[in-house]
Amino acid sequence: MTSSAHSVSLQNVKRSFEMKGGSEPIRALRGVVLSIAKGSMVAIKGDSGSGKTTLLQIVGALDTPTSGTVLVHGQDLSAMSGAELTQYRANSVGFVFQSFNLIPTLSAVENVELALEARNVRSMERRARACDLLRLVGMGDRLNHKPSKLSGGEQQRVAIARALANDPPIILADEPTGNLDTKSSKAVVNLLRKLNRESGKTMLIVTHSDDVARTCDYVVTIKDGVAFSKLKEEMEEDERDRRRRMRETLQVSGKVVSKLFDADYTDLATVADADEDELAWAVGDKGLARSLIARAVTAVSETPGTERSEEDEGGDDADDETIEDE
Amino acid sequence: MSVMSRSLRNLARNKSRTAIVVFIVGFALAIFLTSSMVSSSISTNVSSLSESLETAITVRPAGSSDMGMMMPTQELMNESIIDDIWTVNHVEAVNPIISKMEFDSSSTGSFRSGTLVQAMDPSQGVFLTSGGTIDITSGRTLDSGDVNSTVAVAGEEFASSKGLEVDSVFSVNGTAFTVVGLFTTGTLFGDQSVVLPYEPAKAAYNMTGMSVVYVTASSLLTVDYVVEDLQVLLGTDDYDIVSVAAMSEEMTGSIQDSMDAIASSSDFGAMISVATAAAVMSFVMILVTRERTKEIGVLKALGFSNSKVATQLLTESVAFSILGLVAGVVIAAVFAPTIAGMFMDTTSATSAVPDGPREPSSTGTASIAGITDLDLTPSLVATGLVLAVGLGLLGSLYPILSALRLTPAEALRYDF
Repeated sequence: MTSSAHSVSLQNVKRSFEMKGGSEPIRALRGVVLSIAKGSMVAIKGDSGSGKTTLLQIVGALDTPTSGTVLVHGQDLSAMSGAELTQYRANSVGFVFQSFNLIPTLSAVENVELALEARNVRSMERRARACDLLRLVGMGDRLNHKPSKLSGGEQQRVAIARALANDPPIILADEPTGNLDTKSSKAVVNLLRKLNRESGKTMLIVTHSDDVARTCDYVVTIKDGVAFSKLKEEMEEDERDRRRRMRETLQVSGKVVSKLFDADYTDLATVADADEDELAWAVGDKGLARSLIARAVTAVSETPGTERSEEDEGGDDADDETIEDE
Repeated sequence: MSVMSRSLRNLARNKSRTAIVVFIVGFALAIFLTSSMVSSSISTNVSSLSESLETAITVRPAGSSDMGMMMPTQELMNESIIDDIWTVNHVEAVNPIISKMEFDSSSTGSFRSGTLVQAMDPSQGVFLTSGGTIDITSGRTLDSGDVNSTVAVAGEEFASSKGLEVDSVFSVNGTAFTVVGLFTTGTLFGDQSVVLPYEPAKAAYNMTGMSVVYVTASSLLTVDYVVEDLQVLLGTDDYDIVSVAAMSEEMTGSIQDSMDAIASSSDFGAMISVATAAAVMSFVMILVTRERTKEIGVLKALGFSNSKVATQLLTESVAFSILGLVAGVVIAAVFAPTIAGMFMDTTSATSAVPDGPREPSSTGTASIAGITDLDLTPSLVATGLVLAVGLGLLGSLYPILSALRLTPAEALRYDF
């Protein structure tokens, strides 16, 4: 059942893809049960191929589940006709894609207008609204630029404006920062957060990025086709636990962690999941010096007799705080 | 932003490809247009030939027609029969004609070997009994005001060999005639002819009769009655009286066969060209649609209905075809005769119309053999437009339907 507080509700949603040649079908979603509150901003995380995008596409009526029920504002998508689903896509959801998917021959303002054209909005009105939206996302001075003349971050802002064109209550973003550098990613995420707070739109964001996930109210993790949902605070606690365990592991393995945390990279990336006698690996968003850290770990571990520093012995909590603060 | 505007912009995405496709489609449509022009030309000439044959009757001295197939008769008929002919019902026109071959190239006369001199009443039109439509290239033709004037229209070949121009004077059996116009017929023999007014020519040659009389019946239905009445009136012992259509049935049949051959080859050319254009359009639209399947997915994700997406792609395809038509019209306007020569078998018609003097029944065949009057009429361009739009719709049907069958998610996942 979907309460009135829920914007989206998935009940035992399954999606499998038949393969050619009689191979075993791929079961992308294996019974997802999920309720998303109205006005919330939710990150959907998971490994590549875990079914994140499939989940998003099912909520956006771009795809249909093999079984299960998808309720959006109380409406059952599976009961809708093709024409109704077209209307649903035009009115109820706005999409933001990883690769922007702007039409290359159209200017920024024309790309935004395109979404309004789907609803047969009159020409003058279309142009006015498209300009307003582009100004809203900070693209007021790039109205007539073609996508090829815009940076990735600018293109994504145009795409966000396009998603907002029909004022849909739900925005679905599929790795919106996946093709962006750190600075542009932050700008896009902040923009989404701002729109979420100011307009109360429900946002579902598929992402690999911890930074993006941290911005959201909830994080839904898709693993083996099943969804696990947690609050942001719980996720943060989990993250602290993970780092603590990692550091303990590193200490046990005799690696001088302090060298790592003395470096300037500590606020950029984390080192995780190293068993004894194994090298650690660095995790974090693109551009966060993962390779540098990995090289640092390797160098430290290969230096015999290196001693740990005092800071490193100062306790896990202190380090955790340092990391979080930075 | 209109669908049309978007479609045109999409054509500019890959300019070199668009240019190549427009040229190929344009060339195919040019072949179609040329084929249609050839067919139209043939049809017009056949119609003209039929009209001229259907109501025409020749009266000539008995037996003279045997040699008349190759040479104008030198026997003469008394002019008194003209009044008799007029007494027959359903006779609409009587045109006495002097037809004379001039072989005297060495004398001071103005003729070269094999020049056909024809004299007729200018008020009843100017033509050659040997065939060929007279097209005036400079000056004017003879008219009713020239009935008693010593004037002439000369074939270009004859004029050229004699250094004659409009207003030049040349001699006919010692009488000076002024050239008022030059003409061409499309055949060498026809262009070596000279046409004079009947009375001055008769005086110049000091002739007492006519070579042949052209009688025109009031309609196709009365031709046989007029022939029968004339045969009764004049007798068949002294005169050969036949309708031109009947007399030249065999020849017209041969011409018709030749025309049919041209029409058939031009129809085949048109068919192949249309099929080629359709195949090219279909191939290009498959390519374009596949390239942009992801974009189709985006449009669907934005809430575009299948019909809107289809309209967009169809408009694009039709715009492609119309650009092709524009190219086709330009190519056809400039290169139609060349294309006709390249793709259509016109030799059969040419061989069916041998050089040399012919019976009047071959009137009009020279222009068919030459296929020179290829007109790109507005109605033909309109037909081309309908065809282009049809090609665009037909060629894009399959790729568009294929693309629309995909769900938005499938379209978004599609990798070209």
